[in-house]
Amino acid sequence: MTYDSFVLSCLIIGGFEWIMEKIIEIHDLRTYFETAEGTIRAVDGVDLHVNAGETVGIVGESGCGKTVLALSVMRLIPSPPGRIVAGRILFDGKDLLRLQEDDMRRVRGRSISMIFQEPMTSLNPVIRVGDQIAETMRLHLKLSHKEAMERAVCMLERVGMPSPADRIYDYPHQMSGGMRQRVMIAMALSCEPRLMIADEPTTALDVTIQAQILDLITRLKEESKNSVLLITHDLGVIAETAQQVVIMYAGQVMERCSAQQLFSNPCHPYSVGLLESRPRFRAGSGTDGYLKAIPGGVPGLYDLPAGCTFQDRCPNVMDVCRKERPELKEMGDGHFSRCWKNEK
Amino acid sequence: MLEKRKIDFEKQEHPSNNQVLLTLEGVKKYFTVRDAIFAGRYHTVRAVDGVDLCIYRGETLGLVGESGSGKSTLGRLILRLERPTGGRIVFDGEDIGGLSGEKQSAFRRNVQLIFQDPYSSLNPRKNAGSIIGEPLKIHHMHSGRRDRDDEVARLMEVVGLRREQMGRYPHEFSGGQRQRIGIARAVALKPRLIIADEPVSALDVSIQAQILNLLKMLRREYDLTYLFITHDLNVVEHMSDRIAVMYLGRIVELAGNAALCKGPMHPYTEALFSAVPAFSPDEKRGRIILEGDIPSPVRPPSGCAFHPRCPRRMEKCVRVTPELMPFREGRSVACHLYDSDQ
Ligand SMILES: Nc1ncnc2c1ncn2[C@@H]1O[C@H](COP(=O)(O)OP(=O)(O)O)[C@@H](O)[C@H]1O
Ligand SMILES: Nc1ncnc2c1ncn2[C@@H]1O[C@H](COP(=O)(O)OP(=O)(O)O)[C@@H](O)[C@H]1O
Ligand SMILES: [Mg+2]
Ligand SMILES: [Mg+2]
Repeated sequence: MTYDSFVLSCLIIGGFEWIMEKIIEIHDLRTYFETAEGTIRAVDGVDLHVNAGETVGIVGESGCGKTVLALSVMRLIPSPPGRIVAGRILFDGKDLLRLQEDDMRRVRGRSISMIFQEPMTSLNPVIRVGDQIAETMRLHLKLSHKEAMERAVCMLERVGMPSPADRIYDYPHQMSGGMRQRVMIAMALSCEPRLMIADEPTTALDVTIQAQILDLITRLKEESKNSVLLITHDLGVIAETAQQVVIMYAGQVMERCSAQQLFSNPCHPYSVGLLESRPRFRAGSGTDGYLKAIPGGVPGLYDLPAGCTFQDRCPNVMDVCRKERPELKEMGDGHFSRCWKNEK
Repeated sequence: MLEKRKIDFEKQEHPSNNQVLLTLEGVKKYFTVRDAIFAGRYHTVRAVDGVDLCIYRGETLGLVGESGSGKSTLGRLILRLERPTGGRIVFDGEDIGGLSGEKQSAFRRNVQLIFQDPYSSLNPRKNAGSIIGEPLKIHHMHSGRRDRDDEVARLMEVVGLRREQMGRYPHEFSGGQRQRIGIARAVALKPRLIIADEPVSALDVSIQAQILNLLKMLRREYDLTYLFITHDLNVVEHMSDRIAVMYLGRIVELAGNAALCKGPMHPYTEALFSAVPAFSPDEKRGRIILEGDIPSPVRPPSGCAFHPRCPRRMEKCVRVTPELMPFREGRSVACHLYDSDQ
């Protein structure tokens, strides 16, 4: 190798390393709930990371632990009944699970912020939206009221709110669902967090408004070079926005890979089932075609079977699947799957 | 005006037969609501604002539109759960506004509803067997107890439940199973028309496909006609023979499924379709991002209600409301871009 090409490759590798810098790493996270029916293992050994500048999508059906995962990262799990029983969440070289509550409060809303599916649950109904956005900035950035209000107007403008200088005086209920979601995004981005967690941010919205909001999240991510952890049950949303995907089922990661890999070469039977059960717009399927449905339903989390949690719905179930739970294993190229079929 | 409508219907693209089952003629539904702030002040909500439409026997007519466009209200008008403010609805040759006695009872058997929400639509104090058997009881069909239980058991098997589950209560079923109970109840009386109002919107992706397959199977087995209401364009495309697009209380475009999905004519339809997320990352396409929200039906914009958001707005659109007019290949569109003088 010549000196030049050596330097060049160092630069490339160095650059690559920079792109691949991990913003957050979650290791073996376990969040359980104690209920009358027994222990619910809502998040049961999740491993994932988010690289700088990347959108990671978390996909799964209702009850599989997506929201609990997000709330665990924010350390907002209601306790009791919930408890983070194990794991590490590395962010900025620190383990969030070991921070004092005071330090965690400085992380929340400042370095990591979260948007919820239903903005009304996190907006205060009796405070004007401008004051709510300003409050976050006063708290974290120590701005004066006037500075904070000016920035609130700028933020609302950035998220595409029409006549933002007037809308800061509105109460949340005076706005449509799409506009409230914009307020949430403005608030979440007001302190320029390095990671934004968006929990089903468009599920309650119409497609035209969903398109506006997804475009907005993607554009703002590119402008501010932050990372996004996007939770959704809609693979179409993943196709539009995510670079990496995590498929969750019954509190565990079933498959983890790039969005490209998921759509072109899905490995886990659950991922394959999800992809194939979707009606396809403009495919001309007509009215005679049937969909490939996944049989059965999502299992209850307190009486999970021994072995693989997907066994009863899996078309390729084998004896071993009923006895032992498979591990999440790398199949090469950063593509992970939790399935005996892939182990061979 | 009536004459013109008849012609429109004949030109509307439809499946092989052309037997009309249901006709809506200039149907309107206005609600009067109290002002949220000023007591004594009232507003008129134009939920459905002049709809002409017909449904052919044996077809699935998809009805799409953003929330608040009046889809559910239209369904409720057909079910006679609301009285129209104007216009008339004709089912099988009879104006449903004037039904009474045996004809009214027959209408109630013939037109059934499948709800969106499988959680709140079933009576929690009744078991699955009595929920499904209730319509049979009311309409004195399969009147013996044994006979009725047999029929309920048969219906349960048709929709993919087990007869042993007859004694269970709604909370013991999953969302998908509850939707199956609602479907069994809706088909119990062998209706001719089923209004399915967002029947899969509350269900998980993997369960959605099961229910859509069931609805298609039932349509074939029982010769059903569906008015399939949804805001999910993937679903409507999968289910429908024809699709009607609704915006702010009016039908803005109506066409055969394939024709509409391949080449929408109305700028609203075009924008709505372009907002559907890609099927895979390789299929991301250009989007028409609509500005702003759907306006309030209390103060609908002048002229064409879509004009404030329309990327192809012309001066005329602000003044004149376009009528739903027949176009080639039996499709209809309500847009000035297709006026003969354009
Ligand atoms: N506060 C709580 N108490 C008891 N169980 C809970 C609580 N919050 C969540 N769970 C349980 O955790 C599981 C995962 O829930 P969640 O993360 O909300 O699912 P998702 O967001 O994927 O739909 C569910 O089975 C739910 O019942
Ligand atoms: N009972 C009612 N009273 C007053 N307004 C109503 C009533 N039902 C519906 N509306 C209004 O009518 C419009 C159309 O509603 P709806 O038919 O439910 O639309 P969609 O089903 O398309 O979402 C909405 O603005 C809604 O608020
Ligand atoms: Mg959730
Ligand atoms: Mg509705």
